[in-house]
Amino acid sequence: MVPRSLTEDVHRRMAAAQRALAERPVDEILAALDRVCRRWLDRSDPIRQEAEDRIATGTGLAPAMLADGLSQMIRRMQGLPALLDADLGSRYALDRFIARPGGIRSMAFGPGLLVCVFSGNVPGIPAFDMALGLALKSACLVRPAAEEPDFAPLFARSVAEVDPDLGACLHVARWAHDDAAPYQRAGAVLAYGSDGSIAAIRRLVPGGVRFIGHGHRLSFACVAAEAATAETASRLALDVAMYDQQGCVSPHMAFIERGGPLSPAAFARAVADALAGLQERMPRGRLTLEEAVALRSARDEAEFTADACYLSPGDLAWAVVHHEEPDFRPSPLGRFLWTYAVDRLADVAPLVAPHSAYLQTVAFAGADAGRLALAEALGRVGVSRVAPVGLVQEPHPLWRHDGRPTAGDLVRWVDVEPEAGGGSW
Amino acid sequence: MVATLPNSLADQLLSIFAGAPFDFGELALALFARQYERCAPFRRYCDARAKTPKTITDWREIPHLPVTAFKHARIYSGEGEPAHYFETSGTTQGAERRGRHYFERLDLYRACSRPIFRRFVLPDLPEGGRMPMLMLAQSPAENPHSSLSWYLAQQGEAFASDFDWYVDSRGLRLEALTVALRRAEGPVALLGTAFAFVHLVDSGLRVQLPPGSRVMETGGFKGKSREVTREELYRLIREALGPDVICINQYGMCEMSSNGYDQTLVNGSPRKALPEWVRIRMLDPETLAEVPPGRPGIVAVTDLANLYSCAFLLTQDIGVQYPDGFEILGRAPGAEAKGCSIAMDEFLRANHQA
Repeated sequence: MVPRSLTEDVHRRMAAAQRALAERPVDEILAALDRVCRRWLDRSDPIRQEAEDRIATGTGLAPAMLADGLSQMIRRMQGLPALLDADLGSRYALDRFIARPGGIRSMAFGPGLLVCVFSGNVPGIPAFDMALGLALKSACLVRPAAEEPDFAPLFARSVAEVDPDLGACLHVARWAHDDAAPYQRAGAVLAYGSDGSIAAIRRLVPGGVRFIGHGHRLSFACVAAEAATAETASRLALDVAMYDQQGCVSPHMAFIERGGPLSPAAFARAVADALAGLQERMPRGRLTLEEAVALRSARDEAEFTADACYLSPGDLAWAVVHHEEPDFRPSPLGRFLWTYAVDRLADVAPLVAPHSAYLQTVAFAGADAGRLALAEALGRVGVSRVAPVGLVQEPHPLWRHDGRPTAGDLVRWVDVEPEAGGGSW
Repeated sequence: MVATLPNSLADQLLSIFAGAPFDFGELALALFARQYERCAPFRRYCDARAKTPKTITDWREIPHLPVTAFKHARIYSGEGEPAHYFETSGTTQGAERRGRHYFERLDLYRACSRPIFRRFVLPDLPEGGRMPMLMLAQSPAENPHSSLSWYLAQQGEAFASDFDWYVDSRGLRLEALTVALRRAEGPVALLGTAFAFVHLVDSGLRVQLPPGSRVMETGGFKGKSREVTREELYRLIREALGPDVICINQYGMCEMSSNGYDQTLVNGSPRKALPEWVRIRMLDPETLAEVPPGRPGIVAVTDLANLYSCAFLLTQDIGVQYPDGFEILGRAPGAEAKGCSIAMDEFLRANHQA
């Protein structure tokens, strides 16, 4: 039963808890959050175990994969102090005025109430955003996804167990899709979902309230000739397999430069072999009928059009479909990768440019010399992150999600200008 | 046997369409042997699955060729050059390649289409009787490669007292249709595409058709009209044409020779049935194993009337089999990714809308 709206009582309690939180030094909050992280990194911890069990049952994702994924999410959260220092100049801007160049002194205020709406594709995502809200001395009102309702309340419980005052700043509830009330007191709203859901939530948020929507995104891989090896293929397979490719950072397709140790077609086969290997440790999870039919149709089509198809036999567990002529085609997901041969990786930017609104992460394998040139060309057409192949699912703590400062976008600054004014500039 | 008497299968099918008894499994295996031999893309598809006429003894093990193959390969098992082909219409995903269904001769297709149509759409028509028909589709002259237009023409010639075409390249010919409907003195049959009926009900036309009048509609909306549920469409049709109008949905596709129909006029059941020479099975899309009755699956059709192409088809439709017939839940809409990732079909839809 979804409550039509949150009770006034919840708002009152959260507001009181947040007022107390605002008085606490940021280091104290970060220390408490670090204790939360250490609990979650201990696989024998009862909350962690409960989360693994319930999420695996609820989502159908492979338990071994979820365990890896949860640890990655928590490790990202451990980077919060570094992120605050990078985004705000210093985390202490949340405690007091800090000096900035030109004689300006500035202090940062969190949103007060951060409302988070999560999607269910990548369990564990809420850890970072809820912790970020707390670190910004803000209460968090969290709506988990129907497909994965378990992680957020367990995370809130772990915070409450470690630090009850901090825990009192978190409230997890599922309100109706069209209920505007939960957003009325927000200082900022952070939402994940399809472009359609993001637009629908945005309409519920009062004007003037900061809204950060992570809508549809699409990621791909670029493999330079010198890196076209079985080892790279095996790391790419992991990027594809994690969360059964449902993450916005999960690669849909890989562009492979000709002339390397493995030909692009041989590289495709090596990815397929690696996916077959992963199937044992982290088998693909369950599919809806629609997902299965979409995968079946894409394979059927590929059998009559592709230059090579490497398909899991007897089921839809994984597929790698190779074309010698490059194209831009999103995957039906569920561990289905398109591979395309290119003469030079420089050919990729013009191919992806028409889809700039969707582009996000590029998994790159190759020499560092080529990395920045490619990143510049792809950045120009919309890509916001270039990560090593094999590590796309574990973003660096300083990652700017969709190219925006993660903590920086959530704070409001108060600047105190010096008596002498800015004349020296 | 098959190789030495290539026309015996055609002759046997003609007698089956006329009501002769036959063994479905035996005939399916005979067709498989012939089509495996003559249609290279089908043979390759079967070889890749190690399913050949030598290894298969039960017709249910014959691989079903995905209908997408008709778009990318020449699926032809006839002799010599085909006399004709029909083309699939575009899909929701826009101007992609069209599939072609080739026929060595059209007489077999004609012969199978009429008894089915009569059984499900005109069961109450007295022997030798005829009924006025209004076709909500383009004429074969305007659209020579539309299998629906050709099919409707066959029924018009066989069973209509008179018939005309009320869709042209500009759309529904509403004025002419209104005049024809207002003139109706006895029961009439309106036959055509579902989206043409949407345009009809949206036009504001109101008439009271005589009792016994019927509508047969088929196909999806394919971006050609607004999307409505079948129940809603039928409600609107009865609002526009009179409360007693009987509505029947046809399940068919260019790649099939035979069609399924609602049994509304046969026994009152809106669930669909097929003629004896067609079997439908719902398969688990993951394993392609048959799912039990009552459970949704991907629709696999064995249409023995597809002598000149491939009788064993895997569609992209989702359906459910029940003891008294089957239901089509629709064309698989294409999976939507959960959350902020975008899946292929969503992406194609978004691009198409843009």
